[in-house]
Amino acid sequence: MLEEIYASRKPVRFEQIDVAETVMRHIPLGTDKAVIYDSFKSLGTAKIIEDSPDRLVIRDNKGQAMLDPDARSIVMTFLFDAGSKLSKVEALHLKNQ
Amino acid sequence: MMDEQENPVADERIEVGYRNVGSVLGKDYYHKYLLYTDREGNQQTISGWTGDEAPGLPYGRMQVETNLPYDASNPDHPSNPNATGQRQHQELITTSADLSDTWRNMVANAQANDDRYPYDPQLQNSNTLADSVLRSVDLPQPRDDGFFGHWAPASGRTLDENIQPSVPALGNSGRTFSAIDQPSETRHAAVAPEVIQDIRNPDHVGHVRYAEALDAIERSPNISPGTFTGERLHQAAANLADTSLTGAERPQGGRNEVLDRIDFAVFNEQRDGLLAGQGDWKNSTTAKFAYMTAEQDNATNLTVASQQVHDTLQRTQAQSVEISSQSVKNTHEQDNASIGPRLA
Repeated sequence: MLEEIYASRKPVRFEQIDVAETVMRHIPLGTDKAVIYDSFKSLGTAKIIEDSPDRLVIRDNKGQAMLDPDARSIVMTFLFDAGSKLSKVEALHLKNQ
Repeated sequence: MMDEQENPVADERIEVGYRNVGSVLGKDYYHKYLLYTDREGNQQTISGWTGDEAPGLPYGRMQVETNLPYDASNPDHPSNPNATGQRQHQELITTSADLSDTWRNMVANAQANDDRYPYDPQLQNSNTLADSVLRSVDLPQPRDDGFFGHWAPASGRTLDENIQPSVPALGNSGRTFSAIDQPSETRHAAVAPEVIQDIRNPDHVGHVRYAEALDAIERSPNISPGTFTGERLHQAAANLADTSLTGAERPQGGRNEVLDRIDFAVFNEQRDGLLAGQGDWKNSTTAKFAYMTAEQDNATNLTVASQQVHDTLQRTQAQSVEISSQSVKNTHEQDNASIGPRLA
């Protein structure tokens, strides 16, 4: 999923491309929070920024900001219902700068 | 309703914002931007960014954004997705009842620098721009941007249109990715270069480590007060600072650990050497130690020790860039290998 997004159109300057649909194709609404958490936890490039019962914020970096000319990030916010099922996804693809 | 006397107007502020954009070898590095807060509490920024790649310009020319409102729409603001998960720090540069003219001049200077200077991560970047704009209005340079603080590479340098930028790679790792390589006349300009060679001066790149060593000696549980006095005390602290950084071989075998900081200093059991330590000095299994013989300390005066700490830090930073550069190279190779989806 992340590679698919990084292979898609690159953001320019401060552009933040909405990639929520791509994320939801791979992680459909209704997915258990624990499944999502575990999937990203095992990735070396992804960092869990916020973890609360109804919200998971994850940032994946490709390349080092300032050092890599093509450093980019995907920032994903997963929202969950009372049963810890995925109810909404926000995801942005941006330059990591 | 309250009148002005009941609700005095706050002073205006110009600060440097630091945003932690990455790390090399576990050492965090920061992007600096300038932040103005007016008397009404409105905030705006000046910030430098990479541009569009062009032949000979892998990062393009530095783009300068001025007077951006400091809110969630601002890429330096903690609420903006660009800054998600990145620690921030602010350093006050000046405060006064009215800084509007100063800020206007800063904005004008920054705008004149837009799309003009080749961006280079090691030599000329947003940190160079921020310091240059401050100098243009005779404001002091930031002090929190050193290697032991909020490390902001390429700080203090003079903007240069003739820089030939390059992507960090093994061939150019000798270029300094640091805050200490700028011409001395442009950084903390009031301090003469020969003074900065003395580690007791706060502008010396190793001063913080020296101060930790000095404090540790003075608080030591087994170094009696008065054991070291005058310049000899400073010499011991400077030598201990260097010992804590180098990871050198010990005379009795083995190798010193490289410390992230000095928490304590103690005589060894034979009292013929000093140990700098990190952690709890009573817990030898978890604490990290670096040992220095008394002979070594006696033979290295303060001037030489100051220089050694400087040189050690230069080497450490060059190695950091080398490894970081290799990491960038590996990332590219991995990308090219098309390893497929990382997350199903």
